[in-house]
Amino acid sequence: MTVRKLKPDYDITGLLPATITLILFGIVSIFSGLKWGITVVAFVFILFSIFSLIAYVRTNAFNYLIALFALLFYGIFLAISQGGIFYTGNTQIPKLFMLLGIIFFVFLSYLLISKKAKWRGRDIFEIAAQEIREAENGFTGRPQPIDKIPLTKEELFGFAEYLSKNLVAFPFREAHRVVFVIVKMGKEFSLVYGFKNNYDYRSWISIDFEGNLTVKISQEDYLDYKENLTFDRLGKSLGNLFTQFFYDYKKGEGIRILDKLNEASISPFS
Amino acid sequence: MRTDKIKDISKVCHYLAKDYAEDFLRILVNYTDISASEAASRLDMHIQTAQEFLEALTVMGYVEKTTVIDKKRPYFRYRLIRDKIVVEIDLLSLKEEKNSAEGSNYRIREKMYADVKFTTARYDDYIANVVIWTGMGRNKKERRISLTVPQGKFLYHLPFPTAKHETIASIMKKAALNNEHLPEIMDIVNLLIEYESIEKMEP
Repeated sequence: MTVRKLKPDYDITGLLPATITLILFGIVSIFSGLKWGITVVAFVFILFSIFSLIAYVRTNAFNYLIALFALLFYGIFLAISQGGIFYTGNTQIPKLFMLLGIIFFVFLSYLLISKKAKWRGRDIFEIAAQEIREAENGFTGRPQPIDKIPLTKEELFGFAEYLSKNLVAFPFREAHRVVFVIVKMGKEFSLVYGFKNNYDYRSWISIDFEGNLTVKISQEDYLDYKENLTFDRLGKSLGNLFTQFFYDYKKGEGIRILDKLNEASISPFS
Repeated sequence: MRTDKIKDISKVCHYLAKDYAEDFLRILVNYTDISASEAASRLDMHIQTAQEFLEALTVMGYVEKTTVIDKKRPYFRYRLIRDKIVVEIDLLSLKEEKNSAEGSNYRIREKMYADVKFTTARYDDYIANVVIWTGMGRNKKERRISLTVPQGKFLYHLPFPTAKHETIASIMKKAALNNEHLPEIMDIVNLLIEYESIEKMEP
């Protein structure tokens, strides 16, 4: 993987939760004192742990479970520690929660660095574009029917479960098909936390129960490429990539999907 | 041709729908010939209105106009030359069968940089409507066309602007549509060609 097709990622949406927490801590500490500042951070952590629970229920992805415990334990620690509002004088229990929080944060960091907590949207788009040399543009907002693959409903649901669990795509189960929304890091919040329960203006791949595979690339994602790549070829390449993913999954070699995505060598935070 | 016939009929109907049409026709049937001013005075209407009515019937071939030389200046007299006004439209002649059969061999694809937006039906594989923008700047106008399901399925399979052109017949096959839908497909294809949203490859 030498020539990057995607523009560099300068998106800072992923840093927003931490930034907001820090700002809140600063403001509350200045106006109400350090004790309230720490308490606010504790509540924000517990609130974020609830979001992680929602994300875990919606995706079944392991990293959200780890984030849930890390945030919850650290939030409790801050609330009951010496600086927190619920401090009872006991120093042992806060230490226990701090230790648990640290263990889970270290585990979460490992998952982040090893790309196990990474939404794979950029990897997918980068790989799909690698073979495309022509830049004739031709963008259209229409979905592109690509292929028909033999499958059963159970296999399709299993595939959806696998991709969701590994943060490859976010699936929507519909009456006669499954729509796999391609999610880039930093763009996942509205979907996984359930703020926005649709995939309008996003890129997706749908596979219906008869095996018809269709690709839709959003304008935003298309413009994220450095060049106006020939659109129908890009769509076809993306469709073929997902067809390959499905066959890998069907053979019981789902790990090959992740191996392939790792070939894109995209940063774990991008 | 068919459009012309409909236009002729609508013109006849336009004049027959006038309040004074029946009285005017009665005058024409009962008089050997009549001038516009005589008819106007008889029916108590403006001479311009009578003139317009008689001229229209003349153009449509129901009345004959002759020039009469008076001592002052020439004027026209009108005489009914037909016994019946028959309004008949063969609706089946409007069916696009002939054009459709030829059209199914058109090779088409979506036009590059077309000012058009296709909206996909929620939860299904077809296009629900097409929005086309025409004009520039403040004169830009939006036209939204709601599609039938066969039309939507057809446009769902329309080749992309950079893909190879395909015949209408082959696109219909991909969309699993049978020939029964060809006339309505041709209708939307011709409209989108007219609005420069679909590109037709010249043979």
